Amino acid sequence: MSAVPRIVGTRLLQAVPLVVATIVVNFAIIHLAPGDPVTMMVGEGAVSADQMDTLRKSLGLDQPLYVQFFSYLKSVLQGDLGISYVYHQPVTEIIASRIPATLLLMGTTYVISTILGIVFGIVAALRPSSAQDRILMTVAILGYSVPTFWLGFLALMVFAVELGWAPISGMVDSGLAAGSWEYWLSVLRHLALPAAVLSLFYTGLIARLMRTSMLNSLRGDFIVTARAMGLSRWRVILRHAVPNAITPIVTVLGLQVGLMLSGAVLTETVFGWPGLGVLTVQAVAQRDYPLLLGMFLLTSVMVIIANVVTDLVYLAINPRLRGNG
Amino acid sequence: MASLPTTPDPRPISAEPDELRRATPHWLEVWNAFRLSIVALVSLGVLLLLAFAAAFAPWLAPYSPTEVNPMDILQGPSGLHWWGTDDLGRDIYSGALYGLRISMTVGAMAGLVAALLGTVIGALAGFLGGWIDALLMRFTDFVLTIPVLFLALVLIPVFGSSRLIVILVIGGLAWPSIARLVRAEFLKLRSEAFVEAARGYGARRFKLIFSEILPNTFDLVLVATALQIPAAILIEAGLSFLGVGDPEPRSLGLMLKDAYGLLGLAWWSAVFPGLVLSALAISLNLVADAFNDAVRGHE
Repeated sequence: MSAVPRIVGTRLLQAVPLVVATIVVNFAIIHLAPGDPVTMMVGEGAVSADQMDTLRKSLGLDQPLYVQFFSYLKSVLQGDLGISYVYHQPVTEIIASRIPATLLLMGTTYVISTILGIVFGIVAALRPSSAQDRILMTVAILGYSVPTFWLGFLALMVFAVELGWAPISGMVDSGLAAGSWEYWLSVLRHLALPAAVLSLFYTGLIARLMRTSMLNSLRGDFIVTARAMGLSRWRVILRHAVPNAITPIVTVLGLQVGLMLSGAVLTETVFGWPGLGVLTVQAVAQRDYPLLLGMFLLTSVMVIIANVVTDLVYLAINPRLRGNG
Repeated sequence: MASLPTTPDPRPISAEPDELRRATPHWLEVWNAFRLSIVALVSLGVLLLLAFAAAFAPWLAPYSPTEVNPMDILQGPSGLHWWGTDDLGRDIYSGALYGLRISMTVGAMAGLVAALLGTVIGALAGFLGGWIDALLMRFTDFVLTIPVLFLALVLIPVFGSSRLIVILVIGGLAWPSIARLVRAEFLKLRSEAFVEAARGYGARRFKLIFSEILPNTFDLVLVATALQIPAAILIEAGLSFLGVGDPEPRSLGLMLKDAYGLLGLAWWSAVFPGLVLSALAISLNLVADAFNDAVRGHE
């Protein structure tokens, strides 16, 4: 099995230039931006031109772009992403403080939508073109056609404003001791709506893909053979067809990591969820370059890592790809 | 008095079933498969209705979409304002009609950009093969993993918020699935009889691509593009909701952004534009899906 470490090594090596390219591209893109960050920081006409120049110098913004880039690259490699113009705190600290919220929302969504999506996809594929298939697939399309931010908005109007069952925004009520029983209950109450809305979207997507994959799997020769060998229908489905159908879904789930960040941006904004999505929207509005660069780097690295991990998981569950060493 | 055709069909005559299939009126078959589904027919009806509403918005809208009317703020739905008014007294129904126009234009144009890019990249990869194919497909996979809304959120303010930029950014990231499809089709068609025959006659590479293979991928490209359009529309609406979409003052996403500020004050300002947007995305997705089944089903 010497092929496995070699493939792992290749994948990791391929990721390195991507990460470097990302740093270059991010830097280039964001510095093409119109709008002067110093003006944004202090407000139009709030301080004299001299003071603006001093500020610009202290931030290194008077340097030529390539100087700014190399100092940026050097800092990134040292794990320093600079100081946010708006928060006046290290970017790494700000981002790190927002990661748990996004991870909680995305993780919950990921688990719910993967399980439901796979189950619905299997149920639909078992009797293609039947009523259950048509209904499930139409609902799945509805799930990913309705804009998540609008659905979240409606959910807020009904469950938070009218009925008062759910909180309007945030992740936890203030004044609760972190880690206490009440604290987690409050988090759960805040999490319910955004996670449900986001899950509906991804359940629809995954159910459709799982159905297609399951149909392909059920058509395979090995299924016919297994049935011909006298195995029961359910045994064939659960032991052979389903595992085979899930393999391509893994790739898709890996791709979803990036897409889910997109979904999280809108959902977090609607529900005032204090995660990376809201942070990014604010950073865009305030032209907080260091924070934006940091967010972008983090996102890109996450997507690249998700790709590598996906390849490896695919390799692990699909023995045919391992080769014979 | 049937006269025999004097000029023979330029395509090589072959008895293979695949060739025969292509000789039958193709679109009629697709339509016959499509109309079997009631859901598909209803969706197509809704879609046509929405397209009609968007096309004739200036004649259908009772008010100007942007006209501020301080005497009529936050009016609920009534005979005067069918879908009510917002906090500036703007008519929601009129706004939604014009918003629909923007959504459909951006969706269609982004789809066009994606179809062009996807076809060119897929065709090159599939026809040329080798390391170009490997490189292009690696790039395609990479673009596929880019979080579109996230990137657009940063790119659009950088390049300036104009409709063209919104279309280019969304369309410029939506082509990978189309490219993959075109490539797969090229790999399949490359070795088929009529292409082989044309090659045998000495047709040049690019002539082969354009006159023999590409026309045969047309329906699949159309379907793959149709599947991308609703997503493009939702991304534009999402960007507008976040404040960086189409700069036109009354897009559906912007109306929802305004409505969000009125949470709990004017349900109609959120419900109606959202319903229009959802109806558009749902009908497009259902039509594209049924169309996809119809095109692939008979192959």
